[in-house]
Amino acid sequence: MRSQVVQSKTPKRRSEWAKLPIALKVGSFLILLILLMVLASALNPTNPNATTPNRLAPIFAEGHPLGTDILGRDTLARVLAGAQNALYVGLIAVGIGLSVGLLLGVLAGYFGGWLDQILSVFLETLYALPALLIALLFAAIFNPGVTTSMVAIGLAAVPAFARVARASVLSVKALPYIEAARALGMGNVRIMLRHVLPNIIGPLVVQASLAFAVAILAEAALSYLGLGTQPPNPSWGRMLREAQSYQELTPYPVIFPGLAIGLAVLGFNLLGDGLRDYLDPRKRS
Amino acid sequence: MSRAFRLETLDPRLLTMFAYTVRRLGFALVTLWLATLLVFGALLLIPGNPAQAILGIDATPADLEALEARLGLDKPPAERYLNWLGGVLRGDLGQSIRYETSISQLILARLGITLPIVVASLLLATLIAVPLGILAARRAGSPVDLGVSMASLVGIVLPSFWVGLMFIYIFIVWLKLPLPTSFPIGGWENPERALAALVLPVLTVGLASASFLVRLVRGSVLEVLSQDYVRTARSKGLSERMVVYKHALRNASLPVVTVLGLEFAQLLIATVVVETVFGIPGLGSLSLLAISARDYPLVQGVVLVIAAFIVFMNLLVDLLYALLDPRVSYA
Repeated sequence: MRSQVVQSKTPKRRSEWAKLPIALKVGSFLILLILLMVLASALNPTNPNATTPNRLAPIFAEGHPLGTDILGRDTLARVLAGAQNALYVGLIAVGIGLSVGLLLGVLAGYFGGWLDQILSVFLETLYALPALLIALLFAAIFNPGVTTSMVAIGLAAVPAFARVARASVLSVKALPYIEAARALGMGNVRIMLRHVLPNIIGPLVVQASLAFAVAILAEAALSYLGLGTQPPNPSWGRMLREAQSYQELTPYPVIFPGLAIGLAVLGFNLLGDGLRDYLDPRKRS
Repeated sequence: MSRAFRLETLDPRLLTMFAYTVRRLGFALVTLWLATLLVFGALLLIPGNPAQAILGIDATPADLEALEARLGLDKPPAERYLNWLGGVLRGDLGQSIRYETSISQLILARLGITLPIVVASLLLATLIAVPLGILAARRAGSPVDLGVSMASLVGIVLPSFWVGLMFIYIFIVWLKLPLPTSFPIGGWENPERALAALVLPVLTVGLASASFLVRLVRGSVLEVLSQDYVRTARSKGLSERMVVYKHALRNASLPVVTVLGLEFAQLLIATVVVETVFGIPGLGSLSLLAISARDYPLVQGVVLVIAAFIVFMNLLVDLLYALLDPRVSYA
């Protein structure tokens, strides 16, 4: 009897896991890897900004598994610290995009009418301006730096979040339970917070994951242009900018930060795609 | 009587199309106007005195006053905006502080380098993505399809500037190909050198665009292949080649054309980074120079021109879409 119970349970569990989209599994694994990089950076005794006399060391050099750059700084320590920077910038930028976009999208979708019209025109305009363009404008006005780039990337993400939120609110708004809530005499704010918001979280999480990938790429690009993270702070894009000038001497300080960017972007892209498939009831059956 | 213009004799489709065009055009104009407000308004946010920021702390009061007058800082913002807007409408974006020349001329010269890169990259992307996308869709689920999907994913997640750096390393440092790593000083006066300098940038941007495009081509061909009329075409005995190229491809091309149009405008700004990798004096490096020199009028000009390109391409794509696809509702 007992073995039967165990047997019937194990395959069921395995099938639950097997049912998850492969993109979701690989994406989660890669993001776990990035988180481990952040943890390793925190525990790493090597200071990523410390210069040593051992300059341009090749990979597998003693004490420097990924070699060193032209100032003798440990590439591994800098790539690990770059993960911290990328996650930090991504979190703030996505946080700005999500909170502003959600607010505008829910207002536009819930109330409709002239408010919707005005917000739509405003958001379409913002949509016409790519993140990099907004960041260029910001960098000209305020001092280029990590805060400026985070705000610019976040602002550029607002329209996409607002669009997703608005569309989800429109589809939820038409459902009978919202009518029921209104018939019970609930106010707009309460309906929005208690009944609309919890039901539009899925698409927003998907969008957040995809926006995270975009934010990491944008931050790397801005830092590469010298408009993002400022020296000596390690950022993947900044490392590429510095290593470019001596890349014929050693390619490793160029190779590893680029691979790290690719890994992080791949992770968040796959997670977003996988979540979308997982949350889509048409694909789940 | 019969020659008189009568509204009801017009094709009603034409009328709705006309109304749609007018409305869409109006929307584009409003968007552009908002963009000018944004670009101009952003400069009002500059902390402190812009003239001081441009000249630095060592500037003499006389120099400061002269620059303030030149920037029109002695006038109220509304008047400055209207003056600037009036100039923009006449195609005059003002004078650059750093270069002391007309901003419109500067931007036009830089577009002469950036636009060829963008157009050639899109061409390359189409040549790669369309055949590969069709191949992947026709053999969906096969190892070929998987390979194409994997390759496109790699192209999407890797930053284009890193790929550019790798290309420099592989093609120039390793294989020692005789390609210049910077654009010739004289620009297009030396066409052979200039073209050689653009090979790697176009390859970099083109491959990145192809990675996006191939997914789209595959998706739309796959969708069309599952339609009823494709089944009909097959069941009436048409060869697979005819089905794919005559029926499926024609209908699958619409979303692809759309994305190509949007990608064109996006690439204008995306090439900023790749231009930096390859030392190309295009629109991107102009904007970076303008930022580091705090040449505010020049920054305004570049941002506005790129935004205008994007708005215009969006408009064009929307109108083309409505024109080409009778199923699109534009009521």
